[in-house]
Amino acid sequence: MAPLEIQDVSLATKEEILLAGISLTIGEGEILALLGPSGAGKTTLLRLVAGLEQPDRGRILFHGQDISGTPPHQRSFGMMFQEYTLFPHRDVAANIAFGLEMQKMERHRRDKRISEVLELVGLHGFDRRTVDSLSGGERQRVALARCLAPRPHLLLLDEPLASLDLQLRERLANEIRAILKRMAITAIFVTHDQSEAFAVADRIAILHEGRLEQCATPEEIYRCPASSVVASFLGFRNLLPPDTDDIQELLAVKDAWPAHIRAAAGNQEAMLLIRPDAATLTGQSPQGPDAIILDGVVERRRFQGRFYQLTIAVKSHRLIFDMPPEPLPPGPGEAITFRLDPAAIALLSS
Amino acid sequence: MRSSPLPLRSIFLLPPLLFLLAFYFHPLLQILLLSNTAEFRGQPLSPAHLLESSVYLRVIWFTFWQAALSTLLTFLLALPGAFIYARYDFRGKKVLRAASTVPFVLPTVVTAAAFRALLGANGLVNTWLMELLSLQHPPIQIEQTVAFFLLAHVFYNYTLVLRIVGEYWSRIDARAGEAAAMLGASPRQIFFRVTLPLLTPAIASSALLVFIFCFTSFGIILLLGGPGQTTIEVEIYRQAVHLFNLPMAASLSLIQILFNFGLMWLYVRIGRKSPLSFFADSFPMRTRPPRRLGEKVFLAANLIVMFLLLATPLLALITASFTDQNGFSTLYYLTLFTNQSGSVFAVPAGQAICNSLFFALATTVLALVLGLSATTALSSPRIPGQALMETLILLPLATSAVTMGFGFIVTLNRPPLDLRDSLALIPLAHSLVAFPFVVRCLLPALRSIPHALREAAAVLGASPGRIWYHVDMPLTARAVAVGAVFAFSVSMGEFGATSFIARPHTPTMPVAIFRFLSRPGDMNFGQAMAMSSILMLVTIIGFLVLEKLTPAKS
Repeated sequence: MAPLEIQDVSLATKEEILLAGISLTIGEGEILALLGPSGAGKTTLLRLVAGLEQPDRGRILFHGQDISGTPPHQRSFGMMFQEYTLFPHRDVAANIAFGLEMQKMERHRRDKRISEVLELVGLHGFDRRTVDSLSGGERQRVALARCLAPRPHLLLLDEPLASLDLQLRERLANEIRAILKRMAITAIFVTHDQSEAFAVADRIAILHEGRLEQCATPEEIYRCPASSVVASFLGFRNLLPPDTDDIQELLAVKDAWPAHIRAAAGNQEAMLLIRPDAATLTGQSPQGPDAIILDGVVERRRFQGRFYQLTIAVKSHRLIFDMPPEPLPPGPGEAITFRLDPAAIALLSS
Repeated sequence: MRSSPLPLRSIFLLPPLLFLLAFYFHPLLQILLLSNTAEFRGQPLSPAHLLESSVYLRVIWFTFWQAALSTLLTFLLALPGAFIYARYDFRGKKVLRAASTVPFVLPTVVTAAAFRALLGANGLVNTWLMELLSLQHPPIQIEQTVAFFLLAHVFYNYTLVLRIVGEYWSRIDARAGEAAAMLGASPRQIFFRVTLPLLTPAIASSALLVFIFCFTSFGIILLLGGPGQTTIEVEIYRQAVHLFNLPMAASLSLIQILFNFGLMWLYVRIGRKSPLSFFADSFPMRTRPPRRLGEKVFLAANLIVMFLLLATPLLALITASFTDQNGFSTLYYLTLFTNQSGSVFAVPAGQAICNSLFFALATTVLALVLGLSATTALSSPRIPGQALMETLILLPLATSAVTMGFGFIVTLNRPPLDLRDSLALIPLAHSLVAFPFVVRCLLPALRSIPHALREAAAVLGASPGRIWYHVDMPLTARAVAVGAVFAFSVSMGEFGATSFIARPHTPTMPVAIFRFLSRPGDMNFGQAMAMSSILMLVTIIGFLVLEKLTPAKS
């Protein structure tokens, strides 16, 4: 039995729908990321699981038990907030002790547990530090230690890294995943940052305007975004409606297009996605008979460090690709012939 | 870079410094000297000896005791109010928010008059009860009891606690409480282990503020208390005005000044830990409507308390001002403007309105000139001793009005500053209180102007004077206006100092109200009500202007 089942949960205010019929299942020891732009309903869903809000409709089951009537403090879930929820009137150790005091743990076991979790988050010896004396990264480590100390049955993390700078965010994301995996803890991790979600999660659920767009592993989501909403949220920009004449022409000319994509020609609902890593210069790879070769003119070439970003006009369309810096791709105004990897082309429902 | 030893702007410190020297430190020094000549039954009596005399020990004890009790009562009523203010959305909350500043800014004599109108011997409640139950005597005998002025103190300070603690509460509770809940704390545990400890600075600082206000309360106790209930302030007044024992009054003033400074020092120290001010409310609240029946009942009970405590005295005041033996009447208003035989004044009482307006305008001008002068110097960088100057300027706010009024009459009665019969005396005294307020309004506004703006203007060819006129002034116009309204309102309502220095033929409105209320008879009472209603109206208008001038914070 899955530890957590969210069944058809909905919530609305007078003005707007916050969540519309969300169903999700999380496996034992799994880390699920809730990903979406701000206002998508991620935090609301997390607060429903925590018991800090009540759904209008639907149920939340924990190990098969409906927990709708259980107040948050009796759920034994841990929750880590975005920022500033350390208690300013308690020092580091006393913050971590709070949850243990609520469990009425004896003093010496409590002290032992506090040093264990401090060790775990890499803050050995920080016990007596005050909250104001900590840096942003240290605060979030203490917040994590505080959630972990009472051994929660489920850990909820609400944008825990959003207030930190980029470098620290990347490092802490990896550390959090390592710690959660070591403790084999089931967790839901809310974020609006896809690279953070990719770094931390086993599976990612993408929310948009209160709806669940897709729930799959990071690889599946990247390879096959379920909708154009997901694709544009992941930053994919080559989205083409396949029913326009020249796309049909493209499809017709090139026998090499995958069959399912050719079949979609004329489908009003579908969208064609060409991922930015799909293109390679024709000189680089051997060309089989099924290769898709396109001709175009480079409009713009931008150096991005690890790759060049090329804007290429192909017939009336403008496609954007990332290409390796070696060999140097053609510059603005020059003609380009490139090969598309069929595996990097996907058909999306709109 | 060339750096001149003293920037030109520092000469602007001179006028406010001279003003403080002449009208604050000089009187203070006189009080100190005079207190050394105090005698008691022919024996020399220094302030130290005063503390050994049982009579005065009792006065001091009573002052502390009533202030502590007032503070306690205020918190008992206001803490639940602060909770609903912080937690719930309800209809009329915006009105309550705006109206809740009214009691705090009302002149003390108006508050005293309002409580007499509601619960006094010939107040509304007693009149109605006598009619209803056909009684011969008023059933509620609260006049001249401690309970009466304690009630007025609670009225005064309730909204202060409501705002300070309520705003603070609404800022801390939501997420810290949720974090605690997720760690397994029940609502009760959240309150005692998280909310209350976090509220402590706000509670401590507002409690001390309430204590200070009640400790220096003068008009309320003078008008509502009985003969036995003498605080230090009232005793200074009694010794100076009734018994004309100036050395004794000076000794008591010295004691009062020491207590005031001590309390203020404590308040500033506590305030550093919680940077809060009564008018600061820039943080969003997480509120919701009450859901359960218990919550609704709790909310309703609190709103009823607020209505009874805060609204009924003011409604009673207006009602009483329009009611004589025959029902509705404008008699009391009309008689204010005619010269009556047997009246307590030689001139029509309505003259007091003109006097007050004149004094208030003069105070506003003087306080603005001094305030602008001081802040022009204090806001420019590279002037040494700014922190010290700021403290000096704010010192009058930490001094009780009665000691300042007393200081004036013992100092400004002989050359070189013989102002005994001068009309300038009252605006000078009022400016002493109003001018620090103006500085407090202006200084933050001036300091928030990036110095680069002035440098940009200078590079574009503006002289220092034109920079001040074209950069500083337009950007602080709103703060100047707020300071002006403050100065005006302070002057209109000031009673403590004015009661010492007002001449018989030029009373201010608060002094007139005090004289009416100190005399028996329906006519005097009714006229006190009418005059108080007018003063209340002026104060409220002033405050509405202030609310308009203060930018709405989202």
